[in-house]
Amino acid sequence: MAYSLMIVDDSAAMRGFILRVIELSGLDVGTCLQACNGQEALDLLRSNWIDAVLTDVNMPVMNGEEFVRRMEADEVLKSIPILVVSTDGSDHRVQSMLSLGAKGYVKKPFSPELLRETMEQLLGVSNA
Amino acid sequence: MLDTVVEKLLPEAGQKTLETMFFATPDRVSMDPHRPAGELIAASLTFHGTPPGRFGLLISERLAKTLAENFTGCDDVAQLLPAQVAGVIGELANMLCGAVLTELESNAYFDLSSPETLYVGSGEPDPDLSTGSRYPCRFEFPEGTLVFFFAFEEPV
Repeated sequence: MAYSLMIVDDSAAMRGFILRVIELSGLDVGTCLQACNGQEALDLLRSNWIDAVLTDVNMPVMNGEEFVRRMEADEVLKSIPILVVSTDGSDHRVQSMLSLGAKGYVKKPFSPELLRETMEQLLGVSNA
Repeated sequence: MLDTVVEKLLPEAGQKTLETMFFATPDRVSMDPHRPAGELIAASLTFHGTPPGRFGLLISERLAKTLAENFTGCDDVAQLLPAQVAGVIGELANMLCGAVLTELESNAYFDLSSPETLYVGSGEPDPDLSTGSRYPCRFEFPEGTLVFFFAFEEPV
């Protein structure tokens, strides 16, 4: 089964890194949309079904916190699992994002193995 | 005491970031704040937290290209555009700053501005990143040097 993913980060370099790690992990990725802020991501989600979203927190226009809040408030979008990938690993931020509805949190810097394992948990994929 | 904590945290966070995401290990670590030789890329950002402040780095252009090659997985560094290399260094600044602040301010929120990057020729003055900074950290690699600075607006 090929998964459709979305990566939301204002850094094109980081979006590319995350995509590369996911592809190299062996996860079957069919489509990977990219957005540079929460608003752009929401616009894309109106017309594209996505199995999971990976989002940064600190972004211009619409940050990750507002983006997660808007997704959870939407009857359709709230079913899409969200993984936060951020340099902000403070306890307050992690708890805040999880309480808003994010299903996981990966702090930068992260090893490729950690991102892969977290994605597999998020998607319910078993590589045993 | 807190100065000692910060001085210990900078090289630890720096090495972890470089090894984990950029697959690079420095040969030597010091607190020498002097500008690296040759052409450079400078990156800076501000952070709003407890306390607020500024973060900046200077990196040898050749080292920057190597790190960008490692980060992007590009086999041929000549294919990387200057803007792409600058983007990677901006992300390096973002991660270095965030990694240190996460340890220092684990019980508080902090917000980072988007990093700004700039190419600096060998004869050009570099941005005044070290002013007011009590916390420099320097990594030496075969390809060049990375120096970064934290300047807090209030005592840590």
